[in-house]
Amino acid sequence: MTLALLGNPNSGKTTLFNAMTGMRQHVGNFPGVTVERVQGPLRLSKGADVLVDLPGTYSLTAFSREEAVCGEFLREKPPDAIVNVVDATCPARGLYLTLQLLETGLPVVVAMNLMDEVRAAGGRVDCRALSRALDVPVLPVCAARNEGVEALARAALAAAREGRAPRLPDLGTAQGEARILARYACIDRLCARAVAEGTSAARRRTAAADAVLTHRIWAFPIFLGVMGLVFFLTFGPLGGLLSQGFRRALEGAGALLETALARMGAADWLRAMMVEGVWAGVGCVLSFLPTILTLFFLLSLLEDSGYMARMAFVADRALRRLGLSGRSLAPALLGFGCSVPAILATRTLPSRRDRQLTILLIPFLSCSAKLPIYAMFARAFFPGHAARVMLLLYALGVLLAVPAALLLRGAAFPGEAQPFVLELPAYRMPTLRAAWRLMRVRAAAFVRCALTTLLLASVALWALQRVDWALRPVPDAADSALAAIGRAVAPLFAPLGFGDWRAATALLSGLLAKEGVLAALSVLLAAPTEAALSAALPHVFTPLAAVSFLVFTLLYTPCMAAFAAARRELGGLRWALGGAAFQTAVAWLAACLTHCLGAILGVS
Amino acid sequence: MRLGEMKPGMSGRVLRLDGDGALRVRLLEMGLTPGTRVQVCRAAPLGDPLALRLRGYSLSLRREDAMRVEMEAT
Repeated sequence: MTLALLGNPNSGKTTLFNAMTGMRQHVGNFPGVTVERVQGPLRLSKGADVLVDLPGTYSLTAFSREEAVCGEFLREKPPDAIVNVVDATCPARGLYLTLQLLETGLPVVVAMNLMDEVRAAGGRVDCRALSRALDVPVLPVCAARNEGVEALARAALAAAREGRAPRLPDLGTAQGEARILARYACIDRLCARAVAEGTSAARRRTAAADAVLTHRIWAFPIFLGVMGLVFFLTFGPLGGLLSQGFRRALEGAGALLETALARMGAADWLRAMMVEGVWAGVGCVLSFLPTILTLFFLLSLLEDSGYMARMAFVADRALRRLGLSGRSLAPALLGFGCSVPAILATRTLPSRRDRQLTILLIPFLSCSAKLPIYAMFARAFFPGHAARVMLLLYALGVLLAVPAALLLRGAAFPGEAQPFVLELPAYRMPTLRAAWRLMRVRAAAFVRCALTTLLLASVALWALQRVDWALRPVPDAADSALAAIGRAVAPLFAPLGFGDWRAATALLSGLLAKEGVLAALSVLLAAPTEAALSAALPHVFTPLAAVSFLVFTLLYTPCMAAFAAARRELGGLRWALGGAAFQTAVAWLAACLTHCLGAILGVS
Repeated sequence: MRLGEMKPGMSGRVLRLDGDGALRVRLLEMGLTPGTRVQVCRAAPLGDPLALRLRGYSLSLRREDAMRVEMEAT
């Protein structure tokens, strides 16, 4: 039997899903769209039956990708029965979806979740009366405490076996808008009989928390503090330790791979390709994984707790000026850490337009992989002012994002931002398991991307660094095909002040991952240590050229991982290429302007 | 009076929704149907959007979109 789980966002759907299936969940995608599809074996029947978790939705009318997926799934692969989660603390809104589900004619079982909160508030939801009126089982459940979950699974299986279409409550024959009103009229009649709202302590707590967290003045420092903490945990000591350990493990695995290949007697070129190309490239990207996992985990906690919705609420007004909505804020901020999770996180945005605009703006927020480049150049050219240089670069990125947003909005995304209709859910203690699962789902998307597109890209880039145009291996990187391309494009960078082919080649190497810029420079300048590189850089760049190189590095097209993520989420290679071209054009113009301005002011 | 003009703390009942299109359907489906009691709880720090309470839950709407909702003060 296949059961489908449907319910409003924030109704405890994920918690219920976890309680019903246990940890052996399969994460995949709905065909053709990047909406995650999670399914797991039903615990009750020891895996004989499957429960599919559909995205949270308020109705089956398609406003977003998530909602469209729900409707399509029910039409094209009708499950044997639907398990419908309803938040018992606000049953009216949840029952709206219930009525729509009943109208599909599939067997439905309703789970009244969070019944413990209703009882604690002295309220009442009469499940039996609702069950009689709706002609389907309505069972009280408390998913977080695993109460009523087994009975729910049993009822769902029974309904699936029976396969009887529920008898609809009388909604008349009206269609369209009148139908919506008829549904709510029916719900109002039901609730008048079966539901009594209590005076909820949880609601009072939420109101008190909102008074502080969305306070006229305090909202902003609190917001900055929370995001600061997230970044500190991700990129500070904790995240640093995790990624260092993981990087070591990857290096160890690389060494093992090398010995294994040597023992098998593989040819030298194959060994080099596998170890230096495939493994180094994919490993380099995978080495972001701990950072991304930590970031996703913390953000999942924020999302589950209800604070994420408040961030959107607080920031909406400011972001609207740029043609975005408050919901773009959280994904955009991730961009300071790493563009890849930031781009993947735009999935939470309801409209395609907002999603695309946000994705195109994310690269303006300087990602953490560029930090070592800034640090190295600052050390070589502006000793003692490193912090100021970096701060200026970060600020420049943010400042340029504003005109870029306005430009994109005018050129590619006319019209207003999508309406902002956002539920502000009650604050709840996030559960580790739910955050864990959200993190896993998102990380899976990242790994899939690393293992497909990036595998090919890193092999190609590796090969270009090692061979010449005749595909003969070259001992010196200066003779490689990549260097030849670098020489060919170098004149393009002459107006920016760094027409040197080595600078161009380094920028090309940065396409795989921004770390590649420094790595390539140190190879091409024969400066293997940081001190040597710091001494060698002034031979290639004047201080002014160094600044314009940094400006270009800040803004030019993001690494291949980000490009692949953007391709996935923007929904097409054309969009991703367009975005990359736009960013590179902006970078070129900004660097050129920097160089000209410097020249006019007499700086060299 | 329009919902978008109401001050935090005020409440009323929905009389009708103006305009059409996806937003109208969305608002109706979220439970802003004629006769529904709505309270304005607060405005965001920059004055917009609004936080509303209706049908036992909290909903955030921009003032501009809330101007489509004609209310009857209670």
